[in-house]
Amino acid sequence: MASSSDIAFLLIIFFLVTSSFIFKDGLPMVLPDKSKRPKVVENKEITTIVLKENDIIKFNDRRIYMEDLQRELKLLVQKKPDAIVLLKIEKNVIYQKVIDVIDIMKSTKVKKLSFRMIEKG
Amino acid sequence: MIRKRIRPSSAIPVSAMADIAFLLLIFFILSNVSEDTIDIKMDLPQSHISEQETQRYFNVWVDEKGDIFFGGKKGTAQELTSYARFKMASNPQTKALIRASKTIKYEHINAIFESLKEAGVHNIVLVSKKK
Repeated sequence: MASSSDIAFLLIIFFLVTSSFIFKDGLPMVLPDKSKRPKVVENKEITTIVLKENDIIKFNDRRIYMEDLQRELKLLVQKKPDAIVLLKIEKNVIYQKVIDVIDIMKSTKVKKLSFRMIEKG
Repeated sequence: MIRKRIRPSSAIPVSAMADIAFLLLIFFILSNVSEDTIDIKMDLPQSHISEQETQRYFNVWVDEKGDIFFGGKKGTAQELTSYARFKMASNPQTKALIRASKTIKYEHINAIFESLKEAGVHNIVLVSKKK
């Protein structure tokens, strides 16, 4: 009987510890405030990345591949540490691809990131 | 007449302790399964960077068909806005954890962003699995 209480306590500790860990990892983002006026920035300050269907990525109108994106962004951040990146995403793009791109941006320490969904085009 | 004095036993009743332990166990298991959780089969997207979240939050699920679930049931984007407003009223620092299936299209995510923005939720977390 004494051992069964030991088992029970072990299970309690197990559930207490695991419940605080489960599935809380992710990519934190900040959404813009709807009531505030959007900041106006000059066009040339913005780096535009367009995410299209079929894995097509355009980096400032230049077609690049997912593998090159990290290098391009690294160069960009080295040149301009607070570069603004506008991410235009076509509505049919698979969510995993979006996460991949955001992941790369986070790892290259792009601080200012803006999202927008675009129709096909 | 000599009465034998009954001595209190010096042993701790261990068998009762197991009962208490099991009660606690049942309590913690049940309290873990809050009304917020839903059983949806989900394949979360994977990312290299994944930060731990400790603040107060509420969950929004998006399944493979693009259906939105929150607060323990399925709902529309408008309902999500009022639900998020209610959550923000109780704690303005509340974060929204978006758990979406990795295979869905971005437009569903965008719709959720829009309804959360409408409700004034600024802090969101795109929940992902670590690669």
